[in-house]
Amino acid sequence: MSEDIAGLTLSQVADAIRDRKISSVEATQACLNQMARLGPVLDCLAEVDPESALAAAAEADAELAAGRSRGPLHGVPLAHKDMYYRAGRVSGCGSKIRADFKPTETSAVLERLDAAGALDIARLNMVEFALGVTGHNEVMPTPRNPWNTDYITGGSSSGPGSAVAGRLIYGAFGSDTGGSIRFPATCCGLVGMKPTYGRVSRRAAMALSHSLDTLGPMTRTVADNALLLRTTAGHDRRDATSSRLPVSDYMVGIEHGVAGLKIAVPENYFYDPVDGEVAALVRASLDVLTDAGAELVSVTIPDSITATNAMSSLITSTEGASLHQKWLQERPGDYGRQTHSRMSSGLYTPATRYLQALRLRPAILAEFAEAVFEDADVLHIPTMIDPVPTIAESDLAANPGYLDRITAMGHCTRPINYLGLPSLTLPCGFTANGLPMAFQLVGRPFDEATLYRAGHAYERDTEWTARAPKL
Amino acid sequence: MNDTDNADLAAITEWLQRYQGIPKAAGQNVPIDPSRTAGGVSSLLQSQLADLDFDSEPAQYLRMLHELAPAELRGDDE
Repeated sequence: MSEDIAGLTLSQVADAIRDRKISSVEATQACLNQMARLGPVLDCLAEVDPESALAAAAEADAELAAGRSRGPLHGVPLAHKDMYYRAGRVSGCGSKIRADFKPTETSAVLERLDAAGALDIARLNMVEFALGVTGHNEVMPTPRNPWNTDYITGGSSSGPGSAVAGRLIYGAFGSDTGGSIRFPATCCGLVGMKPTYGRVSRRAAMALSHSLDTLGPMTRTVADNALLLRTTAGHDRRDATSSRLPVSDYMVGIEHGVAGLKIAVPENYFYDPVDGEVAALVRASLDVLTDAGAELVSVTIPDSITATNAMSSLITSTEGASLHQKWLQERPGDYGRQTHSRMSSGLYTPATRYLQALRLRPAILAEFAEAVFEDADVLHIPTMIDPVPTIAESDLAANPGYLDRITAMGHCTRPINYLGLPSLTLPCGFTANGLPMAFQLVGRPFDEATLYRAGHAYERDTEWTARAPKL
Repeated sequence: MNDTDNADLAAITEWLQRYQGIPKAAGQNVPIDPSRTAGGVSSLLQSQLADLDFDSEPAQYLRMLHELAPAELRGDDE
């Protein structure tokens, strides 16, 4: 019974609690049971406090019994990447350096989830300071992939990927600066949304790179994802970069399907380094969408895209170094080798080059949007270039050649961060090693609604998000 | 490592200490290749900068994001 409850989707459990078919305590206990059983296997939990989780759930049940509901997530247990600050609670950021850090402010995302009635029952492991694509962490536990624990989860939102796919929790917020939601969503068979830059307030969430950081949900279904983004998106007067544009009700049009939707398929760049097996799965997802009524439009990606992966890395390491300089000076030995090497590299960036990389952004975005969205509504591209690797074979640390591997992995993801566009990652099958694979739907700025509509139509006609790992 | 590499490393270590405040010992323990940050990207940047408008500035990016948003959302923009 407990495992059955843990296996519900976020929307299903929210409905069941609201309709009082199950209690918040039962849903929370189901998650806690999964955490007790699988937490040590998956290494995805930084901290869980069962007593306070159950107390919060009991309070939610009492409110419902008294006829009061806080919102659409009333009593639903969630857990997030360990970089969302909650006043007075440790937020370790996957690091030794911040292992005891207790923030004084609660993040905008957690405030909005709290207001909608969600419970926050655990902190989830992550890559050290969110800088890493494979999911490895040299100073804290490295989470494992629920589909096969020898394989990576992808990073940097490694704990959320592992915990949501492993049915330890119904949904989680991650962060994405160069692919950190989309990699773990791909590796773990989840739906992941990297929203438009500025769509979700970044206030009191750990920063890595102010110009590129985005926060978004990781869930088992598209509808669950839309519900979490709808709850958290929108202007925050205390985050100067958060947009004042209104937020669509993503659920309103989500059932409308893709008839007439124009999907751009790139003729160049994105598939260039992609493995044949991965490319076949990604391209097969196009057949599902065209069978559902979408129209494909072939597009030529402007040459300027070739510089965006490197410029994104340059901006990340430079802004990261500016944040970490004090610790790089005083506590170099407390960093993992890869994190230290990548952060330190930002210390060498000439200021002129950094500013030029930022100055180029509006022009490259305008050129990209004209080429892709002039005749299409969304762009369909791969996320990863290779099948999911094992933890052992992708343990790069700071070994020779590590940066080339990391750069190659971000071929399809980092350009989207540089451009600031929204991107929805959707599972599209399994490679021969038994691990999931996924594709991205990239939209116009702030058009997450169209991505959810297309993603929901795809999900309806496939079985991938309904599959669960056997643990 | 040859003499040129050693000289480069010494110069980098000195520069790190003088301009970034990184102690020599800490810098020497890090396998840093500065060409990755500046040198590697410079040629890519150079090729893009040729067509860049002189007056462009980073803040135009946020305006561009908003201009490309769906019209129904832009109508309510402040």
